Amino acid sequence: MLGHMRQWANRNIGGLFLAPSFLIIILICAFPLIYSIYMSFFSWELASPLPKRFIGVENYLNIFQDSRFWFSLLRSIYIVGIGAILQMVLGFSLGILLNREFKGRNILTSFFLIPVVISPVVIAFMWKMIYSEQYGPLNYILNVVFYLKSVPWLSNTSVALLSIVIANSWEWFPLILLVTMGGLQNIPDDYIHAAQIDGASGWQITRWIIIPLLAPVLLTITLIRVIEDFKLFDLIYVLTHGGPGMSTETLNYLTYLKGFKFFSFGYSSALSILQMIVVIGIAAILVKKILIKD
Amino acid sequence: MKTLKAKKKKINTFVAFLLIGIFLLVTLFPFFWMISTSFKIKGEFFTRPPIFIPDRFNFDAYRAALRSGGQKALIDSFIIAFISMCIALILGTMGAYGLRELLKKGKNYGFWMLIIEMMPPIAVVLPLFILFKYVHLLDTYPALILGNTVFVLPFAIWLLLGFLEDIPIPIEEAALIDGCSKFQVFSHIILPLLRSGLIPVAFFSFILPWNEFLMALVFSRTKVTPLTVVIPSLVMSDTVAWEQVAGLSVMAIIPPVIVAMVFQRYIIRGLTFGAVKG
Amino acid sequence: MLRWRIFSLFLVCFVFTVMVSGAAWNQVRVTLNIACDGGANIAPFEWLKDQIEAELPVNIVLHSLPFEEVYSKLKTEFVAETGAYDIVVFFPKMLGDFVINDYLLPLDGFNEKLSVKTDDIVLPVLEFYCKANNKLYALPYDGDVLAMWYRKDLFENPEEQAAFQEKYGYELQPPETWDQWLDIAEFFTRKKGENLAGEVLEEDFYGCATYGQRDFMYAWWFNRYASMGGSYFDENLNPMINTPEAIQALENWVASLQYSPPEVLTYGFDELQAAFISGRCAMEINWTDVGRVGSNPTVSQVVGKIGVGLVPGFQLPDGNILHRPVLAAGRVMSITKTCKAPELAFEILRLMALDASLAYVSSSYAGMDPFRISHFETPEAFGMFSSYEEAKEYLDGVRLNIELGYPELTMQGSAQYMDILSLALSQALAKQKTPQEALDWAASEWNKITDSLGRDIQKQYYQSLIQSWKENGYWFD
Repeated sequence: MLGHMRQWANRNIGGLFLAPSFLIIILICAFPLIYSIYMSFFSWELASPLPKRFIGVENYLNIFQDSRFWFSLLRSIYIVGIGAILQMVLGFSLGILLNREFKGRNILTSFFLIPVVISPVVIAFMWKMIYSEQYGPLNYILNVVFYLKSVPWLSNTSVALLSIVIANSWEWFPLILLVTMGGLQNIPDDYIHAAQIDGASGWQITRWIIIPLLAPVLLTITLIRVIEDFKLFDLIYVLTHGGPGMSTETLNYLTYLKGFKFFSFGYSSALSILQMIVVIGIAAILVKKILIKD
Repeated sequence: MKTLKAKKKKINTFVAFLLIGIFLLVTLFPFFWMISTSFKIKGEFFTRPPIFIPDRFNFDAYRAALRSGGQKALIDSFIIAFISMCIALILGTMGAYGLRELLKKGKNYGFWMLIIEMMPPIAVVLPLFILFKYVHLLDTYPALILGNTVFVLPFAIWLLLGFLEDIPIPIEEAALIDGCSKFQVFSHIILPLLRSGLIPVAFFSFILPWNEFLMALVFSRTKVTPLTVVIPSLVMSDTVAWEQVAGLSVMAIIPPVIVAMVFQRYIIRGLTFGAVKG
Repeated sequence: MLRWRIFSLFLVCFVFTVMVSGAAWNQVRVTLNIACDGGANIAPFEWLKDQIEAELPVNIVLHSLPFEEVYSKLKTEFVAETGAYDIVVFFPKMLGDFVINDYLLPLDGFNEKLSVKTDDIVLPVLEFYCKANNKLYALPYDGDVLAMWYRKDLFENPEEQAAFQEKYGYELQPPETWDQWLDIAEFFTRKKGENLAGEVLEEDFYGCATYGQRDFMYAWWFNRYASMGGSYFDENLNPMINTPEAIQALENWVASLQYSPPEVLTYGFDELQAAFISGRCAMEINWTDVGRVGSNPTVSQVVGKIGVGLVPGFQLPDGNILHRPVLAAGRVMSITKTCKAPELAFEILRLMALDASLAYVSSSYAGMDPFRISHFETPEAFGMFSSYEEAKEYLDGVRLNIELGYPELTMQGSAQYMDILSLALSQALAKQKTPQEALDWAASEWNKITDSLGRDIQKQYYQSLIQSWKENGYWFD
């Protein structure tokens, strides 16, 4: 009897092992998603004592007609796009720069790792202090060292979003850096030596050898960053609360506002479903690019 | 000819290190500023020009922050992060191995784990809020642990799948032929080989809950107060206790930074692994 | 044998004592959780905590909420029903939401047993901010009202008076109407290097300043619009925010921007106050802290130069001027339905709203403002002023405003309505839309909100609300 059980267990160890994980994932991940989709078809306003009522696709129709939604989508794309470029450029350049042997290279690299591992909330507060228009060090340095005027980092509608992108890129470019370094290690030295013997300059080597070889890996990490940047929340919450005006209200932040500031659960759910569709769409495009390169 | 090239190389190297230095400065300056702020006293904040180095190492901010809920915050965050890490390690390794067993044909199922990462957190938080309300789990540790597991567990499985691929199948087959049960293969062969991969998984499954904000904001009330919620709460209506914010933030980043620097090689491997294989 | 019996008897007695005292101890001291927005606003509770715990069998736990999150956190807690808070301090604009969703205990019963002297409470605060559906649900904690602050010294300067008379044809006095406000603001806006009251300016000087941040800026518009007879909705719950008078009021506000500091649209509480007390502008509408903080020489450049007056109004056809200073913000205290010891909670509320109130509204360390008639009649308690006369002048000026105070919209959904209104007003002020466009858009959004919240319920609540407004002379026919 026990023997039979053991044999059965042995054969199905895959399932057995997977079961608890799978169960939790289904329960805790799939359930919220399904419930969100369900809620998005209801009007559920907690400011009012009215119970929730079924309204079909009306939430979605209202969203499409609301310019606030479209602007927030634009802002999300702005953050993701500019952020991806900034992070890529900074991370990749530093990766190339650090691609040489010297003492203390490992320790230096680990310093660059720090922004990635600390809480975005802490990072937000650090930057809040730095961005202070009157009393922050950034404007002071701009004034004294570069003779530039103070920049209203967080109080000007045209600048605030960029300030958020800068802080976010500062936090995450080391991730691109690490991937670049990992990828560079995988390139056989002979390739590079051969090219140098042929008289190629540093730029040419980078352009024609390194970038193509690293492309799949870089695209993958960019995909991850894109997905994460759509979810950006902590920085906006602490630095600007969506302001000044609406200038830093991204789609994700708007979803939070509608859900936990105005308590329109149905509308908020519909927004989050739309956000998911947008992210999956962009991710699908990027994945196609990666697969083609592979 | 040779000296020209050598000179060029020297200039190149010099420029390279200059740039690296600038990168380093920009990367580390915010930390420097925050640490310096944590040592300031009231009069040293809103000054023009800003004070870069305060007069003395004044620990008042740390004491005050600990008193205003900082102590409980550190403990609560630790509990949530630690248990989440344990769950991720145990269920993650089992889940990754089980997944690989079930789907031997090498399809990239790791990718499906990423789909879960694509869900906007609100889509998860709102329903969980309603669910937890009904089972009276709001403002409890289980609520935050479960909530964090939603995102941490798939990520852990994704990382581990990458590491598992590194373990050549012949080793497993040899063990099976020798008469080991699958379970023994798992515990005596896979796990030890996986050890170096477990470190980045442990690290990230601790860090992600430690740094997590939205769920902490929504699920916690008075009994459970994670760090990421306590720090913003030090921002009152017109008076912000900046030195306390800085002090508590410094305390909040010490664990991740120390672990990251000590285990950096493994963590880097973990990060690059996922990306390279993924 | 006997020894064992004695011992067991002793043991039984001991255990019994412990159990009884344990139970008695638990019964004796209850833990009550109080939530309030933090910093200077929760300070009175912190000061009185020991006294409360000495007089009543309670342990007080204070919870500081971040200012912008008061509604979010309280509402989330009420929805979650975890019983985390027993006493809540909040802004009256949330009153409708909390009452209609049944989160608060009515206080009339308690008041009958243990009076809080409601006749002593300034009328608008009591009727509009403490009562809903004719029942008492909250007690006042902070009597916020907007008042007009101006530089006495500039207005009393003979040269300026002569120049003004010559340019505008009437006497220079603190403005009584919004048109005069614009004239005077224009008059006093001068560049660096020009002359002001006999001195050469070292920096640009501005005629006025205004609040700009989204959370309360609509009140600055309502100061103008309400004095023209405007309101939030009409009797049938149609939005009244895009009538011709509404547009006119907004145009007046937009016009005043050219006489204000360039960054004025980012101004919050601190910045607006700083603009006046650092001597950058001649007038502003702001909360009453300006007077108190402005008399403190360590932070204020204008000590002794501060005048307080009634917020300007609008001239009616019959010649009278209608003034409607908005009771912007304000704070009230209530007892939650989940409170474990309501009687004790009420005693605490009573202590704060009655006995201790004069002490903390006259303190320079708390941000609270007077709300009882007796407060206004005790200038000697306000020690931050250098003389009795100064204190009395301050109190009289504030009192004028609060007695005519216009309420915020306390109906459920106010968070959404005001958010839209602020957005629309911001766009008009930033010249991204014309006032007409902005307010039309806001009105249509308001209708959508009303529909999503249930038009009938909204209408019902609103009509009971304006019933109270009408009975107290606040409805404009």
